Amino acid sequence: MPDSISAFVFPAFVRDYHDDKSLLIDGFADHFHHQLTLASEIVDPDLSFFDPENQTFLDHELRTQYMAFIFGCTISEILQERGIQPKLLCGYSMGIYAALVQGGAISFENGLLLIRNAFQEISYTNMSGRFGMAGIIGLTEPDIRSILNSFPDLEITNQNSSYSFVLSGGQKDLEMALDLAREEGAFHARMLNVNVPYHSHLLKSAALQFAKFVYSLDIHSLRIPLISVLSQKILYSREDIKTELVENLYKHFNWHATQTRMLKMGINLFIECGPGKSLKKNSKFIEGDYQFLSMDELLIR
Amino acid sequence: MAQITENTRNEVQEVVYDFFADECEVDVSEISEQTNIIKDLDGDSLMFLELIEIFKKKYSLEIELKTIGKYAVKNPVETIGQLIDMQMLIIEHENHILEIV
Repeated sequence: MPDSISAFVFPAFVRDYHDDKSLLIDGFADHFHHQLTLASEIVDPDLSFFDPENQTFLDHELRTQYMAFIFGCTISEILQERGIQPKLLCGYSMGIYAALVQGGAISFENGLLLIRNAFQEISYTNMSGRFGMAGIIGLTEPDIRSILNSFPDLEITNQNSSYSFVLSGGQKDLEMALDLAREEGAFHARMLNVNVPYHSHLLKSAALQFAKFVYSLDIHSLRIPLISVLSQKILYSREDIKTELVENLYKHFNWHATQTRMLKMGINLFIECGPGKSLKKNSKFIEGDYQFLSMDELLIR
Repeated sequence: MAQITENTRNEVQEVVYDFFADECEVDVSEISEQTNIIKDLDGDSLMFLELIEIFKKKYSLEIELKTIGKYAVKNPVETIGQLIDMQMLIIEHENHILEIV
């Protein structure tokens, strides 16, 4: 990859471990178990029971975030050891924490504490009813906006590609909107495995509480710039990072626009720093002349 | 509408087999018309969407994705053979596929 200009992209959650071949990467297991042990000491002793073959923690919203973070940080370390340096970093939603560790803005420990604190503040928020997120594939944005006319409390909180969208809001409204989406011709219309309406205005009060913790932390300027999935701006400074961390909880993001902006900046190699290939799969619907590699494709030789 | 020839089904079959062999990391010899896309190949809706995009380009098809989605709701596809059959109908009828009785 002599002429490649790369970006490391970090997923937010783990969907499953079927696609994951990371244990085949030289040195992965040692790095991973070291970080897993640290994480189990810092935030949650039960993390030490992680077993990918048994799909551990996939139904545990907080632990699955920890696992995506640990995978991302492990891969970052291995890539650095092999002299692979990105021009740009990007975190998909809560993938921001691992991206910030890679960029030198926060420590591994503070990344874990940020994840825990954000989740705690969200769980303290007094929201009546049940909430969640849903994915719709196969309809256009106008189609979905037309459906949402009947559900004013639902929000489009992310666009993955021209035909892939994520909604957040109340569970009942989401389920009814999904029924309409299927009638309208969506190929895929399903609830996501989360109970938090991430990136919606419903989390604004939690984000303001989270801000107190963010501003208490030792956060440095980035050595490698980060592109915001909220605004597609390039971030370096500690103030920009703090603002991004807080707004990342309750503002909409746009993955499609973010990857498109990276392509316009000349990025021609994307490396998915996490288990599986969810961002790589999505990239097939974003036009451009580039390669998108999962970590095993890059590192298993 | 695209012209259907005797070779069209063979072409479609070859594209479908190669696509799933590549995406699902299985040998093409393991795929048959009876292969269940989800149970046997662990396929998903993004693969289905990608395949449709491939055929839209290959045959310059004028059809909206949601039209195919509406058709698929009424005529669910489970096997590779059913997928090829549906793809043939898409190529033949394009946006009029919902008018097929």
